[in-house]
Amino acid sequence: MKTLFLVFIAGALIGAGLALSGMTDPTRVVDFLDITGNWDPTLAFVMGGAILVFGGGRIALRCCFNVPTFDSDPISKSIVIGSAIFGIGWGLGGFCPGPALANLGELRTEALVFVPTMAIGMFLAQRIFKVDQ
Amino acid sequence: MMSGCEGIRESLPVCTIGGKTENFTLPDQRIGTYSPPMEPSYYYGLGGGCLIGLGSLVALIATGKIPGISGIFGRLLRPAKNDTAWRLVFLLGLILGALNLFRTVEFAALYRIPEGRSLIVYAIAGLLVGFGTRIGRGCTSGHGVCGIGFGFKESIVATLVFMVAGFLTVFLFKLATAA
Repeated sequence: MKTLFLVFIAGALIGAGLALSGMTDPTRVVDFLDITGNWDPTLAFVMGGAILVFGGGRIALRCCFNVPTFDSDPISKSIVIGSAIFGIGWGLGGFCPGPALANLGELRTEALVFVPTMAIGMFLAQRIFKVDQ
Repeated sequence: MMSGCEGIRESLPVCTIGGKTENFTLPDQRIGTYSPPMEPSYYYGLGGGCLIGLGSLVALIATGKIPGISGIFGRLLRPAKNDTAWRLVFLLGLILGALNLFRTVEFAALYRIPEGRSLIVYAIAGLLVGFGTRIGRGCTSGHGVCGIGFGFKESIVATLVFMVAGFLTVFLFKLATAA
């Protein structure tokens, strides 16, 4: 029960952060990726803030919480190819998984189209390439 | 980046920041050179980013797993025993947390579809994002925030790769739709 409560708070913080930062607006994301056009660096501030709080917090909170650690994975061909495919989809729609899901509550048409096809893409990757075992 | 003001429009200085021209209200209505330190969206971005980092930290400690959103969602499609409820609760929180901001903060409510993006483009984009994030084992949150926050070299590489792929895609999409 405690885990579910904390996970709900975590989700709400992330959802609020995605909306507050303007990352649920696909044009703001595409403008960040549009380096030859009207470049909008907002996304860099979002990632910078998130990395600082997450990276700093996981070290600082070792004092008082059981913060897990993980081994780094090798840089594999699948990580590079998968990330490239993800980047193409990201540039097409201006949606990555978090913002697309966050837009569902407002029943925005593009998110209602994107999330199911994203699920199909994930399902295919899991079936064909045996990921997420 | 250009930054500065010249001239007046409707009695306000006209400032050009990052290529965008806007009117600015000065506290003393002074006319002259004025360089605002940052666009308002940068503050929203930084504040929202800190919330994302904090939420990811809470999820990390609560679950003991790296809380990448594509993984939290994706593994719902391959459910393991006693592993579904927390993922659904997380996504419910994410949707309600965002909805709350959409309804209360004007900047958060902005939702603009970029030029030339039909629903078919969104359907294809969804397929690619879903497929790519599972093959690549992470998205902007799993690799870009959490992985880099852990200092993982594969996450730094993944983030560079999806950013460059995004840059190229936007560039080529512009070329294709302009033609």
